[in-house]
Amino acid sequence: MLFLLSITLTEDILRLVPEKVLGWQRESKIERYSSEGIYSYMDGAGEVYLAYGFKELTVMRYKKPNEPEILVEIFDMGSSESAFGVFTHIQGRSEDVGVGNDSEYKDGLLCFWRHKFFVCIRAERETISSKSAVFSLGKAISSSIREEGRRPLLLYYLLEDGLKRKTIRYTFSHDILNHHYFISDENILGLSPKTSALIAEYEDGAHILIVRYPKSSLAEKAYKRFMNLYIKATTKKSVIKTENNRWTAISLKGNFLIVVFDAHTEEAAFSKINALRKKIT
Amino acid sequence: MITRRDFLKGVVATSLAKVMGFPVAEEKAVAKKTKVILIRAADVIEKKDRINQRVIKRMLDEAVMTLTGEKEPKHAWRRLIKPEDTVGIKSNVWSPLPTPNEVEIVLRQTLIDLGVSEKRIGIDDRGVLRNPIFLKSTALINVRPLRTHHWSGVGGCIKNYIMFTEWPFLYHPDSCADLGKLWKLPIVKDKTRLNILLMLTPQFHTIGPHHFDPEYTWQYKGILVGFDPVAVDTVGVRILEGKRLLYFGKHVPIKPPPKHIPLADIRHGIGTSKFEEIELVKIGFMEDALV
Repeated sequence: MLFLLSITLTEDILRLVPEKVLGWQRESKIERYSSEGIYSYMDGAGEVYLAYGFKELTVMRYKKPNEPEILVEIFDMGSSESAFGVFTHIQGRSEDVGVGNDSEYKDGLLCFWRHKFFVCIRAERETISSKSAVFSLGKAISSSIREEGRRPLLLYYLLEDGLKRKTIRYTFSHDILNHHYFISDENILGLSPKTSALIAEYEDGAHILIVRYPKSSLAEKAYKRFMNLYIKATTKKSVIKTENNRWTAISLKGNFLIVVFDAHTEEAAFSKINALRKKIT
Repeated sequence: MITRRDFLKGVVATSLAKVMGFPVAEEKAVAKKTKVILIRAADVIEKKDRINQRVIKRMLDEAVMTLTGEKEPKHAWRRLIKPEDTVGIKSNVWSPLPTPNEVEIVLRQTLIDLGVSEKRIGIDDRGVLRNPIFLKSTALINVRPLRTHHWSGVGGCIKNYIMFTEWPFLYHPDSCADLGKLWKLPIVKDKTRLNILLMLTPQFHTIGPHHFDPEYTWQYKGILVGFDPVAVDTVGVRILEGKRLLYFGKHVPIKPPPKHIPLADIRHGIGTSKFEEIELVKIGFMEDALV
Protein backbone atom coordinates (compact mmCIF):
# COMPACT_ATOMS: atom_id res chain seq x y z
CA MET A 1 0.00 0.00 0.00
CA LEU A 2 1.52 3.35 -1.05
CA PHE A 3 1.14 6.51 0.93
CA LEU A 4 0.84 9.54 -1.35
CA LEU A 5 3.22 12.39 -0.65
CA SER A 6 3.64 15.88 -2.01
CA ILE A 7 4.69 16.50 -5.59
CA THR A 8 7.36 18.90 -4.42
CA LEU A 9 9.02 16.16 -2.39
CA THR A 10 8.97 13.82 -5.38
CA GLU A 11 10.64 16.40 -7.57
CA ASP A 12 13.30 17.05 -4.96
CA ILE A 13 14.25 13.38 -4.77
CA LEU A 14 14.10 12.91 -8.55
CA ARG A 15 16.58 15.75 -8.96
CA LEU A 16 19.10 13.62 -7.06
CA VAL A 17 18.71 10.62 -9.29
CA PRO A 18 19.77 10.26 -12.97
CA GLU A 19 17.28 8.89 -15.48
CA LYS A 20 19.84 6.79 -17.24
CA VAL A 21 23.17 5.29 -16.26
CA LEU A 22 25.40 3.04 -18.36
CA GLY A 23 22.39 1.79 -20.32
CA TRP A 24 20.14 1.22 -17.31
CA GLN A 25 16.89 3.17 -17.60
CA ARG A 26 14.94 4.37 -14.59
CA GLU A 27 11.36 3.08 -14.57
CA SER A 28 8.64 5.69 -14.49
CA LYS A 29 6.90 4.13 -11.48
CA ILE A 30 8.31 5.47 -8.25
CA GLU A 31 7.27 4.07 -4.90
CA ARG A 32 7.01 6.26 -1.83
CA TYR A 33 6.58 5.09 1.74
CA SER A 34 6.03 7.11 4.88
CA SER A 35 6.89 5.88 8.36
CA GLU A 36 3.40 4.38 8.67
CA GLY A 37 3.71 2.55 5.39
CA ILE A 38 7.21 1.13 5.58
CA TYR A 39 6.12 -2.28 6.86
CA SER A 40 4.21 -2.91 3.67
CA TYR A 41 7.46 -2.53 1.75
CA MET A 42 9.94 -4.28 4.00
CA ASP A 43 8.13 -6.02 6.85
CA GLY A 44 10.25 -6.20 9.99
CA ALA A 45 13.25 -4.50 8.39
CA GLY A 46 11.31 -1.26 8.81
CA GLU A 47 11.93 -1.36 12.56
CA VAL A 48 15.57 -0.39 12.12
CA TYR A 49 14.70 2.74 10.18
CA LEU A 50 11.84 3.65 12.48
CA ALA A 51 14.16 3.38 15.47
CA TYR A 52 16.26 6.08 13.85
CA GLY A 53 13.34 8.42 13.18
CA PHE A 54 12.91 7.62 9.52
CA LYS A 55 10.66 10.06 7.60
CA GLU A 56 10.21 8.75 4.09
CA LEU A 57 11.49 6.17 1.63
CA THR A 58 11.68 6.56 -2.13
CA VAL A 59 12.19 3.43 -4.21
CA MET A 60 13.21 3.39 -7.86
CA ARG A 61 14.12 0.59 -10.21
CA TYR A 62 16.49 0.59 -13.14
CA LYS A 63 16.33 -1.88 -15.97
CA LYS A 64 18.58 -2.80 -18.87
CA PRO A 65 17.95 -5.63 -21.31
CA ASN A 66 19.82 -8.82 -20.39
CA GLU A 67 21.18 -7.25 -17.25
CA PRO A 68 20.07 -7.57 -13.62
CA GLU A 69 17.66 -5.02 -12.25
CA ILE A 70 19.04 -2.32 -9.97
CA LEU A 71 17.01 -1.13 -6.98
CA VAL A 72 17.60 2.31 -5.49
CA GLU A 73 16.27 3.08 -2.02
CA ILE A 74 16.65 6.60 -0.69
CA PHE A 75 15.77 6.94 2.98
CA ASP A 76 15.11 10.46 4.20
CA MET A 77 16.15 10.00 7.82
CA GLY A 78 15.26 13.53 8.84
CA SER A 79 18.77 14.43 10.05
CA SER A 80 22.38 13.64 9.25
CA GLU A 81 22.76 12.13 12.72
CA SER A 82 20.04 9.62 11.96
CA ALA A 83 21.46 8.84 8.53
CA PHE A 84 24.89 8.28 10.10
CA GLY A 85 23.30 6.14 12.79
CA VAL A 86 21.56 3.84 10.33
CA PHE A 87 24.81 3.46 8.44
CA THR A 88 26.68 2.45 11.61
CA HIS A 89 23.97 -0.11 12.40
CA ILE A 90 24.80 -2.03 9.25
CA GLN A 91 28.49 -1.32 8.79
CA GLY A 92 31.07 -4.05 8.81
CA ARG A 93 30.71 -5.57 5.34
CA SER A 94 33.64 -3.86 3.71
CA GLU A 95 36.11 -1.03 3.90
CA ASP A 96 34.98 2.40 2.76
CA VAL A 97 34.49 2.68 -1.02
CA GLY A 98 34.56 6.43 -1.38
CA VAL A 99 30.89 7.24 -2.01
CA GLY A 100 29.00 9.76 0.11
CA ASN A 101 30.33 10.51 3.59
CA ASP A 102 30.81 6.84 4.50
CA SER A 103 30.07 3.86 2.31
CA GLU A 104 30.37 0.11 1.94
CA TYR A 105 29.97 -2.24 -0.97
CA LYS A 106 29.73 -6.00 -1.21
CA ASP A 107 28.10 -8.44 -3.64
CA GLY A 108 26.02 -5.93 -5.52
CA LEU A 109 24.88 -3.83 -2.54
CA LEU A 110 26.20 -0.30 -2.07
CA CYS A 111 25.14 1.65 1.03
CA PHE A 112 26.17 5.16 1.95
CA TRP A 113 24.98 8.24 3.81
CA ARG A 114 25.19 11.92 3.00
CA HIS A 115 23.32 14.84 4.63
CA LYS A 116 20.01 13.42 5.95
CA PHE A 117 19.89 10.59 3.39
CA PHE A 118 20.80 6.96 3.76
CA VAL A 119 20.97 5.33 0.34
CA CYS A 120 21.07 1.67 -0.69
CA ILE A 121 21.64 0.65 -4.27
CA ARG A 122 21.36 -3.02 -5.01
CA ALA A 123 21.88 -5.04 -8.16
CA GLU A 124 19.78 -8.20 -8.29
CA ARG A 125 22.98 -9.96 -9.28
CA GLU A 126 26.53 -8.69 -9.34
CA THR A 127 28.12 -8.57 -12.77
CA ILE A 128 31.00 -6.40 -13.96
CA SER A 129 28.53 -4.04 -15.64
CA SER A 130 25.98 -3.97 -12.83
CA LYS A 131 28.76 -3.16 -10.36
CA SER A 132 29.87 -0.23 -12.52
CA ALA A 133 26.28 0.95 -12.81
CA VAL A 134 25.72 0.69 -9.06
CA PHE A 135 28.80 2.79 -8.38
CA SER A 136 27.91 5.33 -11.08
CA LEU A 137 24.44 5.71 -9.60
CA GLY A 138 25.85 6.05 -6.12
CA LYS A 139 28.33 8.73 -7.10
CA ALA A 140 25.70 10.60 -9.12
CA ILE A 141 23.23 10.60 -6.22
CA SER A 142 25.89 11.54 -3.70
CA SER A 143 27.15 14.49 -5.73
CA SER A 144 23.56 15.68 -6.26
CA ILE A 145 23.10 15.98 -2.51
CA ARG A 146 24.66 19.37 -2.05
CA GLU A 147 24.81 19.46 1.73
CA GLU A 148 27.28 17.12 3.32
CA GLY A 149 25.70 16.77 6.73
CA ARG A 150 27.56 16.35 9.98
CA ARG A 151 28.77 13.38 11.92
CA PRO A 152 27.46 13.35 15.52
CA LEU A 153 29.43 15.21 18.12
CA LEU A 154 29.75 12.08 20.27
CA LEU A 155 32.04 10.58 17.64
CA TYR A 156 34.73 13.11 18.42
CA TYR A 157 34.83 12.10 22.07
CA LEU A 158 35.80 8.51 21.35
CA LEU A 159 39.33 7.51 22.28
CA GLU A 160 41.30 6.74 19.12
CA ASP A 161 43.89 4.41 20.56
CA GLY A 162 42.90 0.79 19.85
CA LEU A 163 39.47 1.75 18.49
CA LYS A 164 37.89 -0.79 16.12
CA ARG A 165 36.20 1.72 13.81
CA LYS A 166 33.82 -0.71 12.17
CA THR A 167 32.26 -1.51 15.56
CA ILE A 168 31.08 2.07 16.13
CA ARG A 169 27.29 2.12 16.56
CA TYR A 170 25.31 5.30 17.01
CA THR A 171 21.70 5.14 18.16
CA PHE A 172 18.83 6.73 20.06
CA SER A 173 17.21 3.40 20.80
CA HIS A 174 17.52 0.92 23.63
CA ASP A 175 16.60 -1.96 21.28
CA ILE A 176 19.30 -1.06 18.79
CA LEU A 177 21.90 -0.69 21.53
CA ASN A 178 20.94 -4.13 22.89
CA HIS A 179 21.17 -5.50 19.38
CA HIS A 180 24.88 -4.69 19.33
CA TYR A 181 25.75 -5.01 23.03
CA PHE A 182 23.13 -6.39 25.38
CA ILE A 183 23.00 -4.39 28.65
CA SER A 184 19.54 -4.98 30.07
CA ASP A 185 16.09 -5.94 28.82
CA GLU A 186 14.77 -2.80 30.52
CA ASN A 187 15.80 0.65 29.36
CA ILE A 188 17.84 1.49 32.47
CA LEU A 189 19.86 4.11 30.64
CA GLY A 190 16.70 5.99 29.67
CA LEU A 191 17.46 6.12 25.94
CA SER A 192 14.90 7.98 23.84
CA PRO A 193 14.73 10.04 20.63
CA LYS A 194 15.97 12.96 22.76
CA THR A 195 19.16 11.18 23.80
CA SER A 196 22.03 9.94 21.69
CA ALA A 197 24.32 7.01 22.39
CA LEU A 198 27.54 5.77 20.88
CA ILE A 199 29.18 2.43 21.61
CA ALA A 200 32.41 1.03 20.22
CA GLU A 201 34.74 -1.88 20.83
CA TYR A 202 38.47 -1.67 21.39
CA GLU A 203 41.37 -3.95 20.58
CA ASP A 204 41.75 -4.84 24.28
CA GLY A 205 38.16 -6.14 24.39
CA ALA A 206 36.72 -3.17 26.27
CA HIS A 207 33.58 -1.41 25.11
CA ILE A 208 33.02 2.32 25.59
CA LEU A 209 29.51 3.71 25.76
CA ILE A 210 28.83 7.46 25.76
CA VAL A 211 25.30 8.75 26.19
CA ARG A 212 24.28 12.37 25.85
CA TYR A 213 21.09 13.54 27.54
CA PRO A 214 19.16 16.76 26.87
CA LYS A 215 19.51 17.74 30.56
CA SER A 216 22.02 16.89 33.26
CA SER A 217 19.15 15.87 35.56
CA LEU A 218 18.25 13.05 33.14
CA ALA A 219 21.87 11.96 32.96
CA GLU A 220 21.97 11.87 36.73
CA LYS A 221 18.81 9.76 36.91
CA ALA A 222 20.30 7.30 34.43
CA TYR A 223 23.53 7.22 36.42
CA LYS A 224 21.67 6.36 39.62
CA ARG A 225 19.60 3.66 37.88
CA PHE A 226 22.70 2.09 36.41
CA MET A 227 24.45 2.18 39.80
CA ASN A 228 21.46 0.57 41.53
CA LEU A 229 20.44 -1.97 38.92
CA TYR A 230 23.68 -2.86 37.14
CA ILE A 231 26.69 -1.99 39.28
CA LYS A 232 24.71 -2.87 42.43
CA ALA A 233 27.53 -1.59 44.53
CA THR A 234 27.12 -1.56 48.27
CA THR A 235 29.38 1.49 48.44
CA LYS A 236 29.35 4.55 46.23
CA LYS A 237 32.18 3.12 44.13
CA SER A 238 31.34 3.50 40.48
CA VAL A 239 33.38 0.55 39.32
CA ILE A 240 32.87 -3.18 39.71
CA LYS A 241 34.52 -6.42 38.75
CA THR A 242 31.89 -8.32 36.80
CA GLU A 243 31.34 -12.04 36.63
CA ASN A 244 33.63 -12.50 33.64
CA ASN A 245 36.57 -11.07 35.65
CA ARG A 246 36.53 -7.82 33.70
CA TRP A 247 35.79 -4.35 34.99
CA THR A 248 32.87 -2.02 34.36
CA ALA A 249 33.01 1.64 35.38
CA ILE A 250 30.63 4.53 35.03
CA SER A 251 31.05 8.28 35.23
CA LEU A 252 28.76 11.26 35.01
CA LYS A 253 29.86 14.56 33.50
CA GLY A 254 27.19 17.21 33.08
CA ASN A 255 24.63 15.78 30.67
CA PHE A 256 26.94 12.93 29.59
CA LEU A 257 27.13 9.41 30.92
CA ILE A 258 30.27 7.39 30.22
CA VAL A 259 30.41 3.64 30.75
CA VAL A 260 33.40 1.39 30.16
CA PHE A 261 32.55 -2.32 29.95
CA ASP A 262 34.97 -5.24 30.05
CA ALA A 263 38.18 -3.39 30.83
CA HIS A 264 41.03 -5.77 31.72
CA THR A 265 41.78 -4.10 35.04
CA GLU A 266 40.26 -1.52 37.36
CA GLU A 267 43.09 0.83 36.42
CA ALA A 268 42.39 0.36 32.70
CA ALA A 269 38.71 1.13 33.28
CA PHE A 270 39.51 4.35 35.13
CA SER A 271 42.19 5.30 32.64
CA LYS A 272 39.63 5.22 29.85
CA ILE A 273 37.04 7.03 31.96
CA ASN A 274 39.49 9.82 32.82
CA ALA A 275 40.63 10.20 29.24
CA LEU A 276 37.02 10.49 28.10
CA ARG A 277 36.17 13.01 30.81
CA LYS A 278 39.03 15.23 29.59
CA LYS A 279 37.72 15.09 26.02
CA ILE A 280 34.08 15.81 26.87
CA THR A 281 33.69 19.54 27.44
CA MET B 1 14.63 -7.47 34.80
CA ILE B 2 17.61 -9.23 33.22
CA THR B 3 20.96 -7.54 32.78
CA ARG B 4 24.16 -8.60 31.08
CA ARG B 5 25.57 -9.51 34.47
CA ASP B 6 22.77 -12.03 35.09
CA PHE B 7 23.94 -13.88 32.01
CA LEU B 8 27.54 -13.70 33.15
CA LYS B 9 26.52 -15.06 36.56
CA GLY B 10 24.69 -17.95 34.97
CA VAL B 11 21.38 -17.29 36.71
CA VAL B 12 19.45 -17.02 33.49
CA ALA B 13 17.97 -20.12 31.87
CA THR B 14 20.73 -21.95 30.03
CA SER B 15 18.92 -21.96 26.74
CA LEU B 16 18.38 -18.19 26.88
CA ALA B 17 21.95 -17.54 27.99
CA LYS B 18 23.30 -19.64 25.18
CA VAL B 19 21.45 -17.79 22.40
CA MET B 20 22.51 -14.49 23.96
CA GLY B 21 26.10 -15.57 23.36
CA PHE B 22 27.13 -16.11 26.96
CA PRO B 23 29.14 -19.11 28.10
CA VAL B 24 27.07 -21.83 29.75
CA ALA B 25 27.87 -24.88 31.84
CA GLU B 26 28.01 -28.24 30.09
CA GLU B 27 24.59 -29.75 29.53
CA LYS B 28 23.77 -32.75 31.69
CA ALA B 29 21.90 -35.76 30.38
CA VAL B 30 18.21 -35.69 31.30
CA ALA B 31 15.02 -37.41 30.16
CA LYS B 32 14.18 -36.55 26.57
CA LYS B 33 10.96 -34.67 25.96
CA THR B 34 10.79 -34.23 22.24
CA LYS B 35 12.21 -35.74 19.05
CA VAL B 36 13.80 -33.85 16.19
CA ILE B 37 14.94 -35.57 13.01
CA LEU B 38 17.95 -34.34 11.08
CA ILE B 39 18.22 -35.90 7.65
CA ARG B 40 20.89 -35.11 5.08
CA ALA B 41 21.45 -36.32 1.55
CA ALA B 42 24.52 -35.57 -0.53
CA ASP B 43 22.56 -35.74 -3.79
CA VAL B 44 19.75 -33.35 -2.84
CA ILE B 45 21.47 -30.43 -4.55
CA GLU B 46 22.59 -30.98 -8.12
CA LYS B 47 24.73 -28.93 -10.46
CA LYS B 48 23.87 -25.23 -10.74
CA ASP B 49 22.22 -25.46 -7.30
CA ARG B 50 19.16 -27.29 -8.58
CA ILE B 51 17.15 -29.13 -5.96
CA ASN B 52 16.45 -32.79 -6.70
CA GLN B 53 12.74 -33.21 -6.10
CA ARG B 54 12.96 -37.00 -5.94
CA VAL B 55 15.53 -36.77 -3.17
CA ILE B 56 13.41 -34.24 -1.28
CA LYS B 57 10.52 -36.75 -1.38
CA ARG B 58 12.78 -39.49 -0.10
CA MET B 59 14.15 -37.28 2.70
CA LEU B 60 10.76 -36.10 3.89
CA ASP B 61 9.27 -39.59 3.80
CA GLU B 62 12.16 -41.03 5.77
CA ALA B 63 12.10 -38.20 8.29
CA VAL B 64 8.38 -38.54 8.91
CA MET B 65 8.65 -42.34 9.20
CA THR B 66 11.39 -41.96 11.80
CA LEU B 67 9.44 -39.27 13.64
CA THR B 68 6.26 -41.36 13.83
CA GLY B 69 7.87 -44.78 14.14
CA GLU B 70 6.02 -46.08 11.09
CA LYS B 71 7.65 -48.32 8.49
CA GLU B 72 5.74 -47.10 5.42
CA PRO B 73 5.65 -43.47 4.21
CA LYS B 74 1.90 -43.51 3.67
CA HIS B 75 1.23 -44.83 7.18
CA ALA B 76 3.59 -42.24 8.60
CA TRP B 77 1.96 -39.30 6.83
CA ARG B 78 -1.50 -40.64 7.73
CA ARG B 79 -0.56 -40.25 11.36
CA LEU B 80 -0.29 -36.52 10.66
CA ILE B 81 -2.96 -35.74 8.08
CA LYS B 82 -6.44 -37.18 7.41
CA PRO B 83 -8.10 -37.16 3.99
CA GLU B 84 -10.86 -34.91 5.33
CA ASP B 85 -8.39 -32.26 6.57
CA THR B 86 -8.15 -28.80 5.03
CA VAL B 87 -4.42 -28.28 4.94
CA GLY B 88 -2.49 -25.05 4.78
CA ILE B 89 1.19 -25.34 3.89
CA LYS B 90 2.74 -22.23 5.42
CA SER B 91 5.68 -21.54 3.16
CA ASN B 92 8.13 -18.62 2.90
CA VAL B 93 8.67 -16.37 -0.11
CA TRP B 94 11.65 -14.23 1.00
CA SER B 95 13.26 -13.93 -2.36
CA PRO B 96 16.96 -14.47 -1.67
CA LEU B 97 16.18 -17.75 0.10
CA PRO B 98 12.58 -18.91 -0.41
CA THR B 99 11.07 -22.32 0.25
CA PRO B 100 12.11 -24.16 -2.92
CA ASN B 101 9.33 -24.93 -5.36
CA GLU B 102 10.43 -28.58 -5.37
CA VAL B 103 9.62 -28.88 -1.65
CA GLU B 104 6.19 -27.32 -2.12
CA ILE B 105 5.43 -29.67 -5.00
CA VAL B 106 6.45 -32.73 -2.96
CA LEU B 107 4.29 -31.68 -0.02
CA ARG B 108 1.28 -30.96 -2.18
CA GLN B 109 1.56 -34.30 -3.97
CA THR B 110 2.05 -36.14 -0.70
CA LEU B 111 -1.22 -34.71 0.57
CA ILE B 112 -3.03 -35.60 -2.64
CA ASP B 113 -1.71 -39.16 -2.39
CA LEU B 114 -3.14 -39.32 1.12
CA GLY B 115 -6.56 -38.57 -0.29
CA VAL B 116 -6.80 -34.85 0.60
CA SER B 117 -8.77 -33.06 -2.10
CA GLU B 118 -6.73 -30.53 -4.08
CA LYS B 119 -9.44 -27.97 -3.30
CA ARG B 120 -8.55 -28.29 0.38
CA ILE B 121 -4.82 -27.78 -0.01
CA GLY B 122 -3.30 -24.32 0.05
CA ILE B 123 0.30 -23.08 -0.10
CA ASP B 124 0.85 -19.51 0.97
CA ASP B 125 2.98 -17.07 2.94
CA ARG B 126 2.07 -13.39 2.98
CA GLY B 127 -1.51 -13.97 1.87
CA VAL B 128 -2.56 -16.43 4.59
CA LEU B 129 -5.01 -14.03 6.21
CA ARG B 130 -6.85 -13.65 2.91
CA ASN B 131 -6.57 -17.28 1.84
CA PRO B 132 -9.79 -19.26 2.43
CA ILE B 133 -7.86 -22.52 2.86
CA PHE B 134 -5.90 -21.07 5.76
CA LEU B 135 -8.93 -19.37 7.21
CA LYS B 136 -10.73 -22.73 7.32
CA SER B 137 -7.71 -24.95 7.87
CA THR B 138 -7.84 -27.92 10.20
CA ALA B 139 -4.16 -28.74 9.73
CA LEU B 140 -0.99 -26.78 9.04
CA ILE B 141 2.40 -27.83 7.74
CA ASN B 142 5.06 -25.26 8.59
CA VAL B 143 7.95 -25.18 6.12
CA ARG B 144 10.75 -22.71 5.41
CA PRO B 145 14.53 -22.37 5.08
CA LEU B 146 16.53 -21.36 8.13
CA ARG B 147 18.38 -18.07 7.97
CA THR B 148 19.81 -15.41 10.20
CA HIS B 149 17.55 -12.35 10.50
CA HIS B 150 18.56 -8.81 11.24
CA TRP B 151 15.78 -8.15 13.78
CA SER B 152 14.84 -11.48 15.35
CA GLY B 153 18.24 -13.15 15.15
CA VAL B 154 16.99 -16.06 13.05
CA GLY B 155 14.01 -16.79 10.83
CA GLY B 156 12.91 -20.33 11.63
CA CYS B 157 9.78 -22.30 12.39
CA ILE B 158 8.53 -20.03 15.18
CA LYS B 159 8.96 -16.85 13.17
CA ASN B 160 7.34 -18.33 10.08
CA TYR B 161 3.91 -17.72 11.62
CA ILE B 162 4.32 -13.92 11.71
CA MET B 163 2.04 -13.64 8.69
CA PHE B 164 -0.86 -15.02 10.71
CA THR B 165 -1.27 -11.68 12.46
CA GLU B 166 -2.65 -8.49 10.95
CA TRP B 167 -0.13 -6.51 12.98
CA PRO B 168 3.32 -8.08 12.67
CA PHE B 169 4.92 -4.93 14.07
CA LEU B 170 3.35 -5.68 17.47
CA TYR B 171 5.73 -8.62 17.69
CA HIS B 172 8.85 -6.62 16.79
CA PRO B 173 9.85 -5.09 20.17
CA ASP B 174 12.89 -6.40 21.99
CA SER B 175 14.21 -8.28 18.93
CA CYS B 176 10.89 -10.08 18.43
CA ALA B 177 11.14 -11.66 21.89
CA ASP B 178 7.50 -12.76 21.98
CA LEU B 179 7.05 -14.47 18.61
CA GLY B 180 5.99 -17.54 20.58
CA LYS B 181 2.67 -15.78 21.26
CA LEU B 182 1.79 -16.16 17.57
CA TRP B 183 1.36 -19.87 18.11
CA LYS B 184 -1.56 -19.22 20.42
CA LEU B 185 -3.55 -17.27 17.85
CA PRO B 186 -6.84 -19.05 17.09
CA ILE B 187 -6.02 -19.33 13.39
CA VAL B 188 -2.99 -21.55 14.17
CA LYS B 189 -3.41 -22.89 17.71
CA ASP B 190 -2.98 -26.67 17.92
CA LYS B 191 -3.19 -27.08 14.14
CA THR B 192 0.45 -27.61 13.24
CA ARG B 193 1.00 -31.25 12.31
CA LEU B 194 4.61 -30.90 11.20
CA ASN B 195 7.46 -28.40 11.28
CA ILE B 196 9.99 -28.63 8.46
CA LEU B 197 13.05 -26.43 8.76
CA LEU B 198 15.00 -26.58 5.53
CA MET B 199 18.75 -26.69 6.01
CA LEU B 200 19.59 -27.20 2.32
CA THR B 201 21.52 -23.91 1.97
CA PRO B 202 21.01 -22.03 5.25
CA GLN B 203 22.25 -18.49 5.82
CA PHE B 204 24.50 -18.21 8.86
CA HIS B 205 25.37 -14.50 9.00
CA THR B 206 23.53 -11.23 8.41
CA ILE B 207 24.60 -7.61 8.61
CA GLY B 208 21.71 -5.17 8.60
CA PRO B 209 18.21 -5.29 7.11
CA HIS B 210 19.28 -5.47 3.48
CA HIS B 211 21.68 -8.22 3.84
CA PHE B 212 21.87 -11.41 1.87
CA ASP B 213 25.28 -12.54 0.86
CA PRO B 214 25.80 -15.94 -0.76
CA GLU B 215 29.17 -16.02 0.99
CA TYR B 216 27.26 -16.56 4.23
CA THR B 217 25.28 -19.54 3.00
CA TRP B 218 26.53 -23.04 2.52
CA GLN B 219 25.30 -26.37 1.20
CA TYR B 220 24.40 -28.22 4.36
CA LYS B 221 21.97 -30.44 2.39
CA GLY B 222 19.78 -31.16 5.38
CA ILE B 223 16.23 -30.97 6.64
CA LEU B 224 15.09 -30.75 10.26
CA VAL B 225 11.67 -32.16 11.07
CA GLY B 226 9.70 -32.27 14.28
CA PHE B 227 6.41 -31.66 16.06
CA ASP B 228 7.95 -29.06 18.37
CA PRO B 229 8.85 -25.80 16.57
CA VAL B 230 11.00 -24.60 19.48
CA ALA B 231 13.04 -27.78 19.51
CA VAL B 232 13.46 -27.74 15.74
CA ASP B 233 14.62 -24.11 15.81
CA THR B 234 16.95 -24.85 18.73
CA VAL B 235 18.73 -27.56 16.75
CA GLY B 236 18.85 -25.31 13.69
CA VAL B 237 20.48 -22.51 15.66
CA ARG B 238 23.01 -24.97 17.09
CA ILE B 239 24.03 -25.87 13.53
CA LEU B 240 24.32 -22.19 12.54
CA GLU B 241 26.49 -21.52 15.58
CA GLY B 242 28.73 -24.42 14.63
CA LYS B 243 29.12 -23.02 11.13
CA ARG B 244 29.88 -19.55 12.47
CA LEU B 245 32.58 -20.97 14.72
CA LEU B 246 34.16 -22.71 11.72
CA TYR B 247 33.88 -19.65 9.49
CA PHE B 248 34.99 -16.92 11.90
CA GLY B 249 37.46 -19.09 13.78
CA LYS B 250 36.03 -17.92 17.10
CA HIS B 251 32.71 -17.63 18.90
CA VAL B 252 30.79 -14.76 17.26
CA PRO B 253 27.25 -14.67 18.69
CA ILE B 254 24.35 -14.27 16.29
CA LYS B 255 23.31 -10.63 16.35
CA PRO B 256 20.72 -9.90 17.62
CA PRO B 257 20.47 -13.04 19.70
CA PRO B 258 17.46 -15.18 18.68
CA LYS B 259 16.02 -15.03 22.16
CA HIS B 260 12.49 -15.57 20.89
CA ILE B 261 13.36 -19.28 20.73
CA PRO B 262 14.12 -19.91 24.42
CA LEU B 263 11.44 -17.41 25.39
CA ALA B 264 8.91 -19.38 23.34
CA ASP B 265 9.72 -22.15 25.83
CA ILE B 266 10.28 -20.23 29.08
CA ARG B 267 7.65 -17.54 28.67
CA HIS B 268 5.07 -19.03 26.31
CA GLY B 269 5.37 -22.77 26.86
CA ILE B 270 5.05 -23.80 23.22
CA GLY B 271 8.02 -26.13 23.10
CA THR B 272 11.41 -27.20 24.42
CA SER B 273 14.54 -25.10 24.00
CA LYS B 274 16.82 -27.10 26.26
CA PHE B 275 19.11 -29.06 24.00
CA GLU B 276 19.59 -31.80 26.56
CA GLU B 277 15.85 -32.52 26.47
CA ILE B 278 15.78 -32.96 22.70
CA GLU B 279 16.25 -36.40 21.20
CA LEU B 280 18.09 -35.66 17.98
CA VAL B 281 17.92 -38.52 15.49
CA LYS B 282 20.35 -38.25 12.60
CA ILE B 283 19.85 -39.91 9.23
CA GLY B 284 22.15 -39.85 6.22
CA PHE B 285 25.68 -38.55 5.85
CA MET B 286 26.87 -36.66 8.89
CA GLU B 287 30.21 -35.27 7.76
CA ASP B 288 30.43 -31.67 9.07
CA ALA B 289 27.00 -32.04 10.67
CA LEU B 290 27.99 -29.44 13.30
CA VAL B 291 25.60 -30.97 15.81
